[in-house]
Amino acid sequence: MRGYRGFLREFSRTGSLRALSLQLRTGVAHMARQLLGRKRDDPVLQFLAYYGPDGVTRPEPDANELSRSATACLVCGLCSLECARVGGAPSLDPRDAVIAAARLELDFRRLGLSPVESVCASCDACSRVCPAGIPIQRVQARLASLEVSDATRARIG
Amino acid sequence: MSVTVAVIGAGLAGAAAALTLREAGIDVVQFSRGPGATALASGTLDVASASPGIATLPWRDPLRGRALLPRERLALHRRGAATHPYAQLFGAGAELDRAEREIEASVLQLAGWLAPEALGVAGSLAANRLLPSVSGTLRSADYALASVAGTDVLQAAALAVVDLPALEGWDAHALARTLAHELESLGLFRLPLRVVRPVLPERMQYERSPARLAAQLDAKGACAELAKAVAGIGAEGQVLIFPPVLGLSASASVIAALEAASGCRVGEALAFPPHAVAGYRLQRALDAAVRRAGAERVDGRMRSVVAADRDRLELLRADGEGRRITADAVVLATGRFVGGGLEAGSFAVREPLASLPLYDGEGRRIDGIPAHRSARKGYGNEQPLFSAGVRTDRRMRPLDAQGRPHHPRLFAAGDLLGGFDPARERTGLGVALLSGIHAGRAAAETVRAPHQSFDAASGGMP
Repeated sequence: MRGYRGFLREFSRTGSLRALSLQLRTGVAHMARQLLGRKRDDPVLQFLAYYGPDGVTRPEPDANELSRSATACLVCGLCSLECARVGGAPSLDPRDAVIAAARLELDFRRLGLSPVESVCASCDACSRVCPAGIPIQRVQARLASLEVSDATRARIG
Repeated sequence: MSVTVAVIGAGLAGAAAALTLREAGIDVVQFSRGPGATALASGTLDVASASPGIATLPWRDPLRGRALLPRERLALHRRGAATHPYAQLFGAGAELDRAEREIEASVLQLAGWLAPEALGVAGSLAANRLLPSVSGTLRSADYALASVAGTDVLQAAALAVVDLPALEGWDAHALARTLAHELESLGLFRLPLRVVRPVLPERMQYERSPARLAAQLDAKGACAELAKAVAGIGAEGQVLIFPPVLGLSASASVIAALEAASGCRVGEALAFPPHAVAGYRLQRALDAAVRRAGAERVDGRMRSVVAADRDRLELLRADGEGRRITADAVVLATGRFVGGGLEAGSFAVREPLASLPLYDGEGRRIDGIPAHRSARKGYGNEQPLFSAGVRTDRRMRPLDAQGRPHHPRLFAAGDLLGGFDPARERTGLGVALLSGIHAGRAAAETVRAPHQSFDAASGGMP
């Protein structure tokens, strides 16, 4: 459409056939590119095809909301103090999960952080002390629900 | 639901207001959405630290080169900005003694509230303290929690930084280097300074999380093991600078055990988030004190505070049961941006509960315009947004745009008060304590006074 309008402007300005020939040339080039060029997939689909085996899925509205709330993290460390006080598992630091969720869920797997599902007692003490109001326990549960393939485990080591 | 006094906010200001009201025998319900800036404090409790005029060299007299005493800085404060909360707290008159007495009484009161939680407060207006932070910089303070007050370098004959190599956010050698540079650049004295490395029991040796190490040390056994590791490590008059890990709830007994074993004074370096254990302890001790005093605590967010009539306010909670609450008086101690008392949205800075007008340190109205519009370019410039908050009258009642109290029974305390920059002046907790006690007292008087006579005294409220 824009090319067509450009043609009209050029044609009315110069009144020459040069504009007509330009339009024809670009039109033909465009059609040729459409026909001969490589087919490109939707980038989201490409991404999912590549990282699907790692357990990455298309974002859901609920998970999106959790991710967005995690970006409010002040990195104040109160959740880790509270987790230690109520006797959380030795390898658990709720900040890991929140920071992983705030970036991309992928990072959580890539960084090889301690898997939450096995150590978190789901007592929700971390969420109650969060000054940014992040539902930390829900974020952790969401991360724990992501499946990790054996291939990924092998890669993380 | 109907309450006598509702205190919104559970930081130092809210706790001080609630405790003051309880001491006056008045029923209090404290509403809190979770911890705010108090829980992130480093452990100092400054009342008169840096003054507005000498913010870059906060503790030295620019003319005589000598360190200013806290009470001298307080006097500078009072000559300074009229918009500062201290101008309302202490009045503009020349009775400096009264201000000092009031500060000392308030700190004593706080010490009394914290004592059952074994949390001490040390300091005075007559002497400076210089406390090292985890990065090795020195910070002046008048009052501080006992766990950090022990590291005062002005009282030390020698300094030793304790090296715990595995610990996250703690680099003893970097701290010592910066600290040596700081001591030298202050040009006041040179202290022997070294790094010591105790042989730790195995389960602490590899602990990287300060939170977990602190939780471990709460147990008597672990504490005794660490005490054995530091036994005989220093000499008389030496100060051992530890990372902020000396217990989550039993810090006083951990420090006492370490002091007995090592023969030195023991203290924690001032820490900032994510390892601000001192603030966390303070917050927990305040929560416990409020609970012990018999104030009810309700968790959850508040949506609005509006006038029901001249004698009552109506509170609306964002969630939970009993969403509509009427109160005879309300103390707003909601803090600023961390606490949620102020919001900086895309379009405007605002006070979300009662839409109170906000002012910066120079007395300009700052609400209703986007946050970025009030920002000043350049590193180190004073930022109007950092001193944004409400203005009050002498009875701590927030003022509306016409300069009249917004409601005769609405009070404000803590960081929500505008006209000062807690990060620059470092008086966040000091203002919170003093204004919290003031607001609590004013609310108590208001609730006690017969309605008729109070209305006549308060003047023309619509």
